Amino acid sequence: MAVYTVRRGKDLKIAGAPSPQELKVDDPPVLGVKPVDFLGIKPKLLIRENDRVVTGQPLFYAKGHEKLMFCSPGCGIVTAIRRGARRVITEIEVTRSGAEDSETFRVFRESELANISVEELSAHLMHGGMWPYIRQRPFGKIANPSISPAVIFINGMDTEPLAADPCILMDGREEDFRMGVRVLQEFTHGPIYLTLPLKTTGDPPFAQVAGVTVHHFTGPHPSGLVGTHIRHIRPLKPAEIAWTLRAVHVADIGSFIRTGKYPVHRTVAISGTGVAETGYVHTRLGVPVSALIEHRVKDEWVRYISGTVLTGSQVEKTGYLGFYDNTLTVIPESEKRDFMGWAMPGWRKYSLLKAYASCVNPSKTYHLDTRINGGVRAIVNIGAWERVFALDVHISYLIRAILAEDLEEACDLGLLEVTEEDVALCTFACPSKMELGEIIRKGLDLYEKENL
Amino acid sequence: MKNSSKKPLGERIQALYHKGGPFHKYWPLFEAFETFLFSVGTRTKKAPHIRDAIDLKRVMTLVIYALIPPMCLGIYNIGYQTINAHGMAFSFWLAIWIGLKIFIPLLVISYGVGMFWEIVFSIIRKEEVSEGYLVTGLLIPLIVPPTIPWWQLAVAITFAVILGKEVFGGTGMNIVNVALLTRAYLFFAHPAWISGDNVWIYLEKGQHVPDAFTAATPLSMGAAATGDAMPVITAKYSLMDMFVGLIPGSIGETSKIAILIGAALMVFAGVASLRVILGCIAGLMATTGLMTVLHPNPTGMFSLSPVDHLLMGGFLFGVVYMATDPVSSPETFTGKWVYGFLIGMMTAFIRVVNPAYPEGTMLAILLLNVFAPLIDYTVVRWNVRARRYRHAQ
Repeated sequence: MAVYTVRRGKDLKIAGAPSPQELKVDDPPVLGVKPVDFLGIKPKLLIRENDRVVTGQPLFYAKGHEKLMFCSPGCGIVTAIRRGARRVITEIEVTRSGAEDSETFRVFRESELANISVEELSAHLMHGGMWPYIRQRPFGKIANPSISPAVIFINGMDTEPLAADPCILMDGREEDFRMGVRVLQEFTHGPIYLTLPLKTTGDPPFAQVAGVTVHHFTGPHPSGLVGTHIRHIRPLKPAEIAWTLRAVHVADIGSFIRTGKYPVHRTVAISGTGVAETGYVHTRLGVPVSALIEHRVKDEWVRYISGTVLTGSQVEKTGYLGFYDNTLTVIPESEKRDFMGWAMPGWRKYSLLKAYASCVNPSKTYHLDTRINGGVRAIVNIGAWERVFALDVHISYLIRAILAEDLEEACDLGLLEVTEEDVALCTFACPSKMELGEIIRKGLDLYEKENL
Repeated sequence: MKNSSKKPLGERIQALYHKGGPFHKYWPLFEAFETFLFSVGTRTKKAPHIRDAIDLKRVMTLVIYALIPPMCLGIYNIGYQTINAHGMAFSFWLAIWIGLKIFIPLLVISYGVGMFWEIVFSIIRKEEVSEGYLVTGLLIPLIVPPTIPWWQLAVAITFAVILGKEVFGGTGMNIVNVALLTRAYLFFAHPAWISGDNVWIYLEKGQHVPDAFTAATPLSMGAAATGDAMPVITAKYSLMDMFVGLIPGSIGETSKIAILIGAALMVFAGVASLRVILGCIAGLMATTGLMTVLHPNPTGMFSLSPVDHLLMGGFLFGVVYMATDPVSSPETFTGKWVYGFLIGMMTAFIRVVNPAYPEGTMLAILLLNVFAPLIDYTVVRWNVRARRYRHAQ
């Protein structure tokens, strides 16, 4: 038990936070799985168009990992397999029909867990499509099942702008969560940490669970990112792997073990200034965006983001919410060009620097749109990145080392401690409009390629 | 729906400069002009989907806003000094008029020559014109004497922009501050026009000049003093004159109050590093203080107190507007403190110990510009070593 205060960072003053009210949506008639949600996975299909599938039936596996399955979120007919550039599979669409049939998996009681081997348990999770919830640091990808984690981090907080509140997502899931933690305990001799926001109201009910060490974090974003937690609680040594999971995903794993059913329930926050009312909906895994927003969108020209404005991915209205995401953010698109914007006071512009007249009203929130607000330039470091970057890494030198493809130097500077979500706020704040996340991922990919 | 704010005529003109258009070669020039009028309207393609409203244009604009107070006081002071030298009847508007008459041509030359090279190199490199010169172009006329010959200024700017910046790859890639390099070029190539006692005051042709007229700067008076320097200096310029800026010197450097206002604006906005500024001031005050205390019989420059040093010469201007240049200073927070302190220390050494020039700020900053990568390297190695140590545990 410890409290960590994060000082460098910023909670963006963006309007459109999800209100705690529950919104009603219809049961979605179609569901989608997006193989592109799974970083670094090359899908090998197990079904064809017009095949009938049931909930929890594997749709594809990962090339090179024949046991790592990705399952259908519903029961019906595979009506489309869509491909993007270079024939990469982008979407598998399942149109629901008939009774809700479901694959049945073995049910474990808690006492049984101790008696089965780690290999069996991981094979079970992989077969049931649960393994992708376990991600690892370094790299921020699906965990390699052949390496035992030195430490497991369960993230019970989310400080990203307009993100779903993990406490609401975890409402009533204490039993599932307890079981999930119990399963994870089988995989490591090291500690399991649960990180929670420091609140005066105390910890949420799911935190009362045996087998985890609770740590509290306070301060602005990125105090809720697992990269920040690892840095403070237990930095990794070379060749060590940490597993990182979100609390809600631990509960899903627990539910899978307890019921033998592929868990398809999803609580989703609908947020952003592009919708008329924000709130939470109870729906299913693989829900299409159109089913979530229905007629709530104010303007035609908006961007749908599966996830948050900092790390989410853009989806079409006809697209689907991502596998890992519990937030749908809708913000306005804009290409408006301001007349001599560089010289004007800027009463309505939002900047982390006090560079516009708007800084006289620090409590104001802003309707941010998707404009970049500037041209791409060489690095002119006025400390904009450093002020919002919470890791013990000299980020500007790390970025330069990656750009120079000097991998050895990049690793010395802490490349393996960073993923794109850790630098998202730096990219937001960058006056030179550089895409730091892209650069970090390029560095990580290079490293993986050279260390196969 | 997209680009609804743009007029068809605008689009037609734009097409001339796009790929395949007859003027495609001059696209950087067109882009610079276009984004001068209208901010870019491009959208993010991937996460993060929202971006800060700051861009390099705005950063540079803020520095320019911060340069306005010393510029105004500088313009006034040119006229003030001229009127005093001639013993003419004083009038505020006459002072402003003389000041503008001197300053505007210098400003036009600075921007004209500098932007010319900037655009030429942008067209050669097929890149957007960077905003780096916007600040440099205003800094340069503020750090030269009002009497600087125009051709010398043009040559010095050409030298500094091409050899100090463009050969390294343009804005963001330079090793030393471009404005200071311009001044250093003048300082070594045409020393008679940028130092001594006769360059700081513009004299009107045909006007009477008193016989005993000299216009030594407080610093050179300090260097020449044989006993305690302060009484000699304050006999001519009061501390208030130095603070407000009614003393001879380079155009923008004289008014300390105006510089402090500019510094406050930049630090508040977050475009200048307070670490560098405080580091510099601490370095100068600590070193000069120590030298006065340790010297058995402080005379001349040794006798000046740390506060006197702050009030004289171009130290404060150099520190606030040029030592903080984000490109040529260290990027690590620790590095900024070290860099600043060493600039203050070097300035003190050059001012007090060196017999040749009374002012050392320019050379101190240029020297530390060159050392900035080394300072950062050292700080970054600490971080690397700490990481290795953690791993070894």
